[in-house]
Amino acid sequence: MARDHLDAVHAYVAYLVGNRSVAEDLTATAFEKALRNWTRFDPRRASARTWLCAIARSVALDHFRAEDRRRRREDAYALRQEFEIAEPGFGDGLSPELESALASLSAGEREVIALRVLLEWDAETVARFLGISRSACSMRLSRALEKLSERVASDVEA
Amino acid sequence: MSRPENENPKDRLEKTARELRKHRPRPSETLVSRIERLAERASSKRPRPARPRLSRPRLVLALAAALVIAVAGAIVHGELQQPSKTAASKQSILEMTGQDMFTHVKKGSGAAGSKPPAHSPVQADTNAADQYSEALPPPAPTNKSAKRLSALSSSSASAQGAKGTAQITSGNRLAELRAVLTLKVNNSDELSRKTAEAMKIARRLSGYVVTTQTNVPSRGVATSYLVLKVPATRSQDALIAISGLGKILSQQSSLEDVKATVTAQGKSIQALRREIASLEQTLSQQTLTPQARSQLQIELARDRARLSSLRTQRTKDILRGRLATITLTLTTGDLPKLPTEPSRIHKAIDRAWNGLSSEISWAATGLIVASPFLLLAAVAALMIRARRRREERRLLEK
Repeated sequence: MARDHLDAVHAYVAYLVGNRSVAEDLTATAFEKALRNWTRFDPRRASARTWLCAIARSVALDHFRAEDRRRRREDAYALRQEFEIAEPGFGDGLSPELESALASLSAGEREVIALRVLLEWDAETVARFLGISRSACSMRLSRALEKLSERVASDVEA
Repeated sequence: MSRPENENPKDRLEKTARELRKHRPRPSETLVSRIERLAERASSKRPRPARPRLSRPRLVLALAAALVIAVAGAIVHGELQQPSKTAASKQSILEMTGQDMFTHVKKGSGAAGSKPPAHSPVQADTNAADQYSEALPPPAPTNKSAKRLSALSSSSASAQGAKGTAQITSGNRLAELRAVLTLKVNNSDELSRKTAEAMKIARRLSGYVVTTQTNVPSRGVATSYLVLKVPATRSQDALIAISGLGKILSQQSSLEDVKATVTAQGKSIQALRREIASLEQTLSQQTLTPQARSQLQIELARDRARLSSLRTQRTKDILRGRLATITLTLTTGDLPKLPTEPSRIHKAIDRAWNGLSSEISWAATGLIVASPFLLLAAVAALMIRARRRREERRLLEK
């Protein structure tokens, strides 16, 4: 089960956090958590992939919270250093424009792209997963793709 | 990445999506092997038993089980309360035949007065109660009154409806007799006449009227309600005479033996008297220490109080046994439909229903008490959830 869904979960986490090494760590953490609690998984409620992605999302949110706290702490002591993405986070072979456009999107926008485009989930499942309405989900996706497309175009023009 | 100038936005999005799918991030070999190791370790572990989830069929099953338990509890509760309930229902059936049919009943306010007449032998019985003994037969009516009653009985027996009068007798035993009669009369005038006649009968038999209440509306059914006390020895004559006043609609009689109680009380009184005499004798001795004397005086006072209480109770019981209570209802209408004795199944259902009702009332009480806390908990949960959502949104917007 773990090997079957690793690819999808990793892709989702990578898009969510935008950093490959962090994504790898978080994916591993998510799987560890999932395997520890696999008896709680109920296939009638959701598919294994959805369940794994939900755990990964919770792990990623914890990571964001920790990062947020770290940033605030560093701001308080004026020690903040800009965190540079050391390695491409969104997949090998992506054009630099697309890579940079993706990086400029918010985590929420990248998340909906990952779920709808990469993982090819239907709108209903994504809406349920994110806890929003179906129309809100479609709107979020269309805005994210629009923004992505515009930024790619502007990068190309530049 | 070059893009044509006049590219359709939809095509452009499609192309971007295709590119994203084509170059989706792949997990590194390190991550794959790490997850494989984790999976192996997890599969080698003995899986914990899954916690039961509250799915819909399980919820239905749990509700059904709770209902069965509640009903079973109600039945058990009802069965445990059965003896007292049965006694109560018997009493209520007895009472419903008379007292409960009419709501405008006032005790002791009757025109005939509520106290026994001064010349009543009942008073003499009360005074002589302490001297009652088993060997003493109940007082027999005088020759004159016996003749009069016998004449009255024979005339009443021939009267309409008198045939069905219950022949309840206590013989020589001291027993409390209660009779409830409902008679129908033709009209309001007859009702007034018969009411007066019933009171006369009670007095003629050395009894008295406890309660009387007459209700004669301008329209509808007129009723008269009387509670009569007659000496137990003349109760049969009274019943025969009274039942001849109209058509019997219903009658209920009960006889409760009080002789055993009175005998036991007499024995207790004798024992107490002996003990008091013994204590008094001991106290008359001069050799007693002040402490022992005081102790004996306490005991003597206690025994005297007990003796007094027993005598009062015995007097009451004897009076109960010497006076029969006749509850008479005269009406111009028909008897309202009385509740029939419920069957065993109906009784069981009633008891179960009562039990279930009490369970529901307890549950409702619990719910009412807990509802403010539940409401607070729900509001708190909603606030926590909303706050978490807001925080998640904020984190994902970055």
